[in-house]
Amino acid sequence: MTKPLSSAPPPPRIDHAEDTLQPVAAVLACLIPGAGHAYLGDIRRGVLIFTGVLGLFFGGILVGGIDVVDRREDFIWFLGQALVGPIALATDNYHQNHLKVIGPAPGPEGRNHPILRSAHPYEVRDPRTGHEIQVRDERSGAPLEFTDPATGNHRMSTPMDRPPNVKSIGRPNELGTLMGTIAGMMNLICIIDAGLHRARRSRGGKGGW
Amino acid sequence: MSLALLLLLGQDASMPLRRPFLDPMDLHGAIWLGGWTLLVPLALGIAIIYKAVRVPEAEHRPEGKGWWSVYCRQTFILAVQIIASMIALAAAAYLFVEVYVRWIQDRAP
Repeated sequence: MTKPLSSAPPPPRIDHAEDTLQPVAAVLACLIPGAGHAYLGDIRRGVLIFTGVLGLFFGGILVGGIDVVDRREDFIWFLGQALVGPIALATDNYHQNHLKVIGPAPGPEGRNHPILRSAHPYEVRDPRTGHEIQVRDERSGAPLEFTDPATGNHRMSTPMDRPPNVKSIGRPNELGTLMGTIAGMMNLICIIDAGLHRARRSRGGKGGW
Repeated sequence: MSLALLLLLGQDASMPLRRPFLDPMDLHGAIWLGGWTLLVPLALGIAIIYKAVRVPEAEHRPEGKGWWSVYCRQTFILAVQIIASMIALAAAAYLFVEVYVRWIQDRAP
Protein backbone atom coordinates (compact mmCIF):
# COMPACT_ATOMS: atom_id res chain seq x y z
CA MET A 1 0.00 0.00 0.00
CA THR A 2 1.47 3.31 -0.97
CA LYS A 3 2.06 5.89 1.68
CA PRO A 4 -0.40 8.80 1.31
CA LEU A 5 1.08 12.06 0.20
CA SER A 6 1.42 14.84 2.75
CA SER A 7 -1.87 16.63 3.38
CA ALA A 8 -0.14 19.92 4.09
CA PRO A 9 -1.48 22.70 1.89
CA PRO A 10 0.84 23.96 -0.82
CA PRO A 11 2.64 27.24 -0.09
CA PRO A 12 0.58 30.26 -1.17
CA ARG A 13 1.46 31.81 -4.49
CA ILE A 14 1.12 35.54 -4.69
CA ASP A 15 -0.05 36.48 -8.16
CA HIS A 16 1.74 39.59 -9.40
CA ALA A 17 -0.11 39.63 -12.71
CA GLU A 18 -2.36 42.38 -11.45
CA ASP A 19 0.46 44.56 -10.16
CA THR A 20 0.26 47.95 -11.74
CA LEU A 21 2.25 51.12 -11.50
CA GLN A 22 0.91 53.49 -8.87
CA PRO A 23 2.59 56.82 -9.65
CA VAL A 24 0.42 58.84 -7.28
CA ALA A 25 1.21 56.47 -4.42
CA ALA A 26 4.92 56.58 -5.28
CA VAL A 27 4.95 60.39 -5.26
CA LEU A 28 3.06 60.52 -1.97
CA ALA A 29 5.47 57.99 -0.48
CA CYS A 30 8.36 60.22 -1.50
CA LEU A 31 6.78 63.21 0.20
CA ILE A 32 5.60 61.60 3.44
CA PRO A 33 6.73 58.14 4.60
CA GLY A 34 3.74 55.79 4.56
CA ALA A 35 1.45 58.14 2.64
CA GLY A 36 1.65 55.99 -0.47
CA HIS A 37 0.35 52.91 1.32
CA ALA A 38 -2.35 54.95 3.05
CA TYR A 39 -3.46 56.25 -0.36
CA LEU A 40 -3.77 52.66 -1.57
CA GLY A 41 -6.04 51.83 1.36
CA ASP A 42 -3.46 50.23 3.68
CA ILE A 43 -3.80 52.64 6.57
CA ARG A 44 -2.09 50.42 9.14
CA ARG A 45 0.91 49.75 6.88
CA GLY A 46 1.12 53.48 6.23
CA VAL A 47 1.07 54.29 9.93
CA LEU A 48 3.70 51.65 10.68
CA ILE A 49 5.97 52.91 7.90
CA PHE A 50 5.50 56.51 9.05
CA THR A 51 6.29 55.59 12.64
CA GLY A 52 9.28 53.42 11.76
CA VAL A 53 10.95 55.73 9.24
CA LEU A 54 10.53 58.93 11.22
CA GLY A 55 11.30 57.11 14.46
CA LEU A 56 14.65 55.97 13.05
CA PHE A 57 15.39 59.37 11.49
CA PHE A 58 14.62 61.48 14.54
CA GLY A 59 16.08 58.82 16.79
CA GLY A 60 19.35 59.29 14.96
CA ILE A 61 19.15 63.05 15.49
CA LEU A 62 18.38 62.46 19.16
CA VAL A 63 21.49 60.28 19.51
CA GLY A 64 23.96 62.32 17.48
CA GLY A 65 22.45 65.78 17.46
CA ILE A 66 21.38 67.71 14.40
CA ASP A 67 25.02 67.63 13.24
CA VAL A 68 24.41 64.13 11.79
CA VAL A 69 22.29 65.67 9.00
CA ASP A 70 24.78 67.73 6.99
CA ARG A 71 24.85 67.80 3.20
CA ARG A 72 28.09 69.81 3.13
CA GLU A 73 30.28 67.71 5.40
CA ASP A 74 28.66 64.26 5.01
CA PHE A 75 27.25 64.39 1.49
CA ILE A 76 27.28 60.66 0.80
CA TRP A 77 25.44 59.89 4.03
CA PHE A 78 23.04 62.76 3.33
CA LEU A 79 22.06 61.14 0.03
CA GLY A 80 20.65 58.25 2.06
CA GLN A 81 19.06 60.53 4.64
CA ALA A 82 17.39 62.57 1.87
CA LEU A 83 15.38 59.48 0.89
CA VAL A 84 13.28 60.12 4.00
CA GLY A 85 11.77 63.01 2.09
CA PRO A 86 11.33 66.78 2.47
CA ILE A 87 11.59 66.38 6.24
CA ALA A 88 15.28 65.53 5.88
CA LEU A 89 15.83 68.39 3.46
CA ALA A 90 14.11 70.82 5.84
CA THR A 91 16.22 69.54 8.75
CA ASP A 92 19.43 70.10 6.79
CA ASN A 93 18.25 73.53 5.67
CA TYR A 94 17.65 74.53 9.29
CA HIS A 95 21.06 73.18 10.27
CA GLN A 96 22.88 75.05 7.50
CA ASN A 97 21.06 78.38 7.67
CA HIS A 98 20.10 78.77 11.31
CA LEU A 99 22.69 76.88 13.35
CA LYS A 100 26.00 77.07 11.49
CA VAL A 101 28.11 80.20 11.69
CA ILE A 102 30.16 82.10 9.14
CA GLY A 103 33.59 82.12 10.69
CA PRO A 104 37.26 82.07 9.86
CA ALA A 105 38.65 79.00 8.19
CA PRO A 106 41.35 76.98 10.00
CA GLY A 107 44.91 78.20 9.57
CA PRO A 108 46.82 81.48 9.83
CA GLU A 109 45.03 83.01 6.81
CA GLY A 110 41.63 81.83 7.97
CA ARG A 111 40.36 85.33 8.75
CA ASN A 112 40.60 86.20 5.06
CA HIS A 113 38.56 83.21 3.98
CA PRO A 114 35.34 82.88 6.04
CA ILE A 115 33.51 79.58 5.70
CA LEU A 116 30.19 78.16 6.83
CA ARG A 117 30.94 75.80 9.71
CA SER A 118 29.69 74.55 13.05
CA ALA A 119 30.29 76.95 15.91
CA HIS A 120 33.17 76.14 18.23
CA PRO A 121 32.46 75.55 21.95
CA TYR A 122 33.67 79.08 22.79
CA GLU A 123 31.47 80.84 20.22
CA VAL A 124 27.85 81.94 19.90
CA ARG A 125 25.95 82.86 16.74
CA ASP A 126 24.75 86.33 15.78
CA PRO A 127 21.19 85.63 14.54
CA ARG A 128 21.18 88.72 12.31
CA THR A 129 24.38 88.12 10.37
CA GLY A 130 25.13 84.45 11.04
CA HIS A 131 28.67 85.30 12.04
CA GLU A 132 30.46 83.86 15.04
CA ILE A 133 31.02 85.81 18.25
CA GLN A 134 33.76 84.58 20.56
CA VAL A 135 32.58 84.56 24.18
CA ARG A 136 35.33 82.52 25.88
CA ASP A 137 39.06 82.21 25.54
CA GLU A 138 39.67 79.21 23.30
CA ARG A 139 42.63 77.97 25.33
CA SER A 140 41.71 78.64 28.96
CA GLY A 141 37.92 78.79 28.64
CA ALA A 142 37.87 82.03 30.62
CA PRO A 143 34.79 84.18 29.96
CA LEU A 144 35.25 87.23 27.73
CA GLU A 145 33.32 90.45 27.31
CA PHE A 146 31.23 90.60 24.18
CA THR A 147 28.30 92.50 22.66
CA ASP A 148 25.12 90.50 23.18
CA PRO A 149 23.41 90.35 19.76
CA ALA A 150 19.99 89.97 21.37
CA THR A 151 20.14 93.11 23.51
CA GLY A 152 23.06 95.08 22.10
CA ASN A 153 24.57 95.34 25.60
CA HIS A 154 28.25 94.79 26.30
CA ARG A 155 28.58 92.17 29.02
CA MET A 156 30.65 89.28 30.39
CA SER A 157 29.74 85.84 29.02
CA THR A 158 28.05 83.24 31.21
CA PRO A 159 27.79 79.42 30.91
CA MET A 160 24.41 79.95 29.23
CA ASP A 161 26.18 81.57 26.26
CA ARG A 162 26.95 78.57 24.14
CA PRO A 163 26.92 77.58 20.46
CA PRO A 164 23.58 76.86 18.71
CA ASN A 165 24.44 73.15 18.62
CA VAL A 166 27.29 70.89 19.65
CA LYS A 167 29.18 69.10 16.91
CA SER A 168 29.05 65.35 17.47
CA ILE A 169 32.06 63.10 17.07
CA GLY A 170 32.85 59.45 17.64
CA ARG A 171 30.21 56.85 18.45
CA PRO A 172 27.19 59.21 18.80
CA ASN A 173 27.95 60.72 15.40
CA GLU A 174 28.39 57.30 13.79
CA LEU A 175 25.19 55.88 15.24
CA GLY A 176 23.11 58.98 14.56
CA THR A 177 24.25 59.22 10.95
CA LEU A 178 23.71 55.50 10.42
CA MET A 179 20.19 55.56 11.84
CA GLY A 180 19.20 58.46 9.58
CA THR A 181 20.65 56.85 6.48
CA ILE A 182 19.03 53.49 7.23
CA ALA A 183 15.70 55.29 7.67
CA GLY A 184 16.08 56.71 4.17
CA MET A 185 17.04 53.40 2.63
CA MET A 186 14.12 51.60 4.29
CA ASN A 187 11.83 54.36 3.01
CA LEU A 188 13.14 53.65 -0.49
CA ILE A 189 11.89 50.09 -0.12
CA CYS A 190 8.50 51.44 0.93
CA ILE A 191 8.42 53.87 -2.02
CA ILE A 192 9.12 51.05 -4.46
CA ASP A 193 6.50 48.86 -2.77
CA ALA A 194 3.91 51.62 -3.00
CA GLY A 195 4.76 52.43 -6.61
CA LEU A 196 4.69 48.84 -7.88
CA HIS A 197 1.65 47.80 -5.94
CA ARG A 198 -1.88 46.84 -6.84
CA ALA A 199 -4.57 48.44 -4.75
CA ARG A 200 -5.62 45.95 -2.09
CA ARG A 201 -8.95 47.64 -1.61
CA SER A 202 -10.69 50.65 -3.12
CA ARG A 203 -10.30 54.03 -1.54
CA GLY A 204 -12.95 54.68 1.04
CA GLY A 205 -13.79 51.02 1.20
CA LYS A 206 -14.21 48.96 4.32
CA GLY A 207 -11.15 48.03 6.24
CA GLY A 208 -7.65 49.45 6.02
CA TRP A 209 -6.85 48.76 9.63
CA MET B 1 13.76 66.51 36.02
CA SER B 2 15.47 63.85 38.11
CA LEU B 3 19.16 63.13 37.74
CA ALA B 4 18.43 59.48 36.90
CA LEU B 5 16.19 60.45 33.99
CA LEU B 6 18.73 62.94 32.71
CA LEU B 7 21.50 60.30 32.82
CA LEU B 8 19.21 57.91 30.97
CA LEU B 9 18.73 60.52 28.24
CA GLY B 10 22.49 60.80 27.81
CA GLN B 11 23.17 63.90 29.89
CA ASP B 12 26.72 64.20 31.21
CA ALA B 13 26.41 65.32 34.84
CA SER B 14 29.48 67.57 34.61
CA MET B 15 28.32 69.53 31.54
CA PRO B 16 25.62 72.17 30.92
CA LEU B 17 22.17 70.78 30.25
CA ARG B 18 22.09 68.96 26.95
CA ARG B 19 19.55 70.15 24.38
CA PRO B 20 17.73 67.18 22.80
CA PHE B 21 17.99 66.97 19.00
CA LEU B 22 20.61 69.74 18.96
CA ASP B 23 23.40 68.24 21.06
CA PRO B 24 24.64 64.63 20.90
CA MET B 25 23.96 62.17 23.69
CA ASP B 26 26.64 61.12 26.12
CA LEU B 27 27.02 57.38 25.57
CA HIS B 28 29.59 56.81 28.31
CA GLY B 29 26.96 55.86 30.89
CA ALA B 30 26.78 52.21 31.93
CA ILE B 31 23.30 51.74 30.49
CA TRP B 32 24.47 52.56 26.98
CA LEU B 33 27.52 50.25 26.93
CA GLY B 34 29.31 52.81 24.77
CA GLY B 35 26.39 52.85 22.35
CA TRP B 36 25.94 49.11 21.82
CA THR B 37 22.49 49.03 23.43
CA LEU B 38 21.28 51.37 20.67
CA LEU B 39 21.51 48.36 18.37
CA VAL B 40 18.15 47.27 19.85
CA PRO B 41 16.07 50.29 18.70
CA LEU B 42 17.93 50.26 15.39
CA ALA B 43 17.06 46.60 14.76
CA LEU B 44 13.47 47.20 15.90
CA GLY B 45 13.10 50.15 13.55
CA ILE B 46 14.36 48.14 10.59
CA ALA B 47 12.07 45.23 11.47
CA ILE B 48 9.01 47.44 11.94
CA ILE B 49 9.42 49.06 8.53
CA TYR B 50 10.36 45.91 6.62
CA LYS B 51 7.59 43.76 8.01
CA ALA B 52 5.05 46.53 7.44
CA VAL B 53 5.43 45.94 3.70
CA ARG B 54 5.99 42.18 3.81
CA VAL B 55 3.29 40.71 6.06
CA PRO B 56 0.71 39.32 3.63
CA GLU B 57 -3.00 40.00 3.52
CA ALA B 58 -5.65 37.58 4.79
CA GLU B 59 -5.74 35.31 1.75
CA HIS B 60 -2.05 34.48 2.11
CA ARG B 61 -1.84 34.19 5.91
CA PRO B 62 -2.13 31.06 8.03
CA GLU B 63 -5.75 30.40 8.85
CA GLY B 64 -6.99 31.85 12.10
CA LYS B 65 -4.07 34.22 12.51
CA GLY B 66 -4.83 37.92 12.75
CA TRP B 67 -2.73 40.46 10.86
CA TRP B 68 -1.38 42.11 14.02
CA SER B 69 -0.37 38.86 15.69
CA VAL B 70 1.49 37.74 12.58
CA TYR B 71 3.09 41.16 12.21
CA CYS B 72 4.25 41.46 15.82
CA ARG B 73 5.65 37.94 15.83
CA GLN B 74 7.55 38.37 12.57
CA THR B 75 8.84 41.80 13.59
CA PHE B 76 10.18 40.45 16.88
CA ILE B 77 11.83 37.48 15.17
CA LEU B 78 13.48 39.70 12.55
CA ALA B 79 14.78 42.11 15.19
CA VAL B 80 16.29 39.23 17.16
CA GLN B 81 17.84 37.84 13.96
CA ILE B 82 19.43 41.21 13.16
CA ILE B 83 20.88 41.55 16.67
CA ALA B 84 22.13 37.96 16.70
CA SER B 85 23.74 38.44 13.28
CA MET B 86 25.52 41.60 14.42
CA ILE B 87 26.82 39.82 17.52
CA ALA B 88 27.99 36.88 15.43
CA LEU B 89 29.75 39.20 12.98
CA ALA B 90 31.44 41.03 15.84
CA ALA B 91 32.56 37.73 17.36
CA ALA B 92 33.91 36.54 14.02
CA ALA B 93 35.80 39.80 13.51
CA TYR B 94 37.23 39.58 17.03
CA LEU B 95 38.38 35.98 16.51
CA PHE B 96 39.96 36.90 13.19
CA VAL B 97 41.87 39.93 14.47
CA GLU B 98 42.71 38.88 18.03
CA VAL B 99 43.28 35.18 17.55
CA TYR B 100 44.10 34.30 13.93
CA VAL B 101 46.14 37.38 13.01
CA ARG B 102 48.06 37.17 16.30
CA TRP B 103 48.73 33.48 15.65
CA ILE B 104 50.10 34.29 12.20
CA GLN B 105 52.14 37.13 13.65
CA ASP B 106 53.66 34.85 16.28
CA ARG B 107 54.63 32.31 13.65
CA ALA B 108 56.11 34.87 11.29
CA PRO B 109 59.91 34.71 10.96
